[in-house]
Amino acid sequence: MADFKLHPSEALIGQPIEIGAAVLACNQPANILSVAPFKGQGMAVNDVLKAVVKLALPTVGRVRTKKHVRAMWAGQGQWFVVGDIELAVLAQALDTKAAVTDQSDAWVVLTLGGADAREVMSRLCSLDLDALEQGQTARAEFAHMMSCITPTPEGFEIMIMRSFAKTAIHHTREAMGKLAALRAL
Amino acid sequence: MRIHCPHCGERDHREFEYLGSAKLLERPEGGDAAAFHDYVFQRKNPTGENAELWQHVMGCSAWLHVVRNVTTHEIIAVKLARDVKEAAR
Repeated sequence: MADFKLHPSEALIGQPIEIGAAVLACNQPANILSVAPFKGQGMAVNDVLKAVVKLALPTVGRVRTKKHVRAMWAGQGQWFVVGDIELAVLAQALDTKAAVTDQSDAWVVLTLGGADAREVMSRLCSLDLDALEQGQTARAEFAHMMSCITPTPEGFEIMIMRSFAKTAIHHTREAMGKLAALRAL
Repeated sequence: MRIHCPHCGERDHREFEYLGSAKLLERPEGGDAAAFHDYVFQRKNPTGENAELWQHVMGCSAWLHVVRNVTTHEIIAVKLARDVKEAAR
């Protein structure tokens, strides 16, 4: 079969964008797979995932990491398994238990770090950032777009749909610039 | 106006999309034209509490059954539409 997969473009965000005390970068994982368990198959899916990637599905609004694979809640009845895991492996293992689709080229993973990461974030996202702890993840609005927001020790990870990536980078760059200008006053 | 999503917690209403009356959950079975006409077109127009369907479109994508006071915009109760439909069966 032909390879229809789109690959990350260097031109989009080749090197980290640093403005003021905030840094925006792209940290695209090898794979992003969506796992949506069929009705009543949640426990069976957990058993398979424990065997294949040594991870069970986290509860609503949580992330779990094991070595190079991460499982994150991604909405009602949907999880993303992110990292070094191939579609064929997971799709075969979860055959009758869950719908598994390749989302690797459908989402772009951005990271926002630096001392002002939180300040920049608060200009773009209406989430209560103080209430968001490590190990949590939230589906939320980011610059008028749907996103997955995950706090990291360095700042935030922002997953955005690939077709919105340019817009997301534009808005984030603007917010970083405005904050830096404010700080320079 | 803030809506307490059962999955995501309290969020601003800009994250949600409004569909209409929660009467849409009560789709009539069978081919009774009068019942279906009623289901599609007839709505109460209350002041005060009204049951509505909202979707957390910028968040978890869940459909929600929201009881809202249409006069004061107070949100009185929020449940997953799935659970409300299940309970009605």
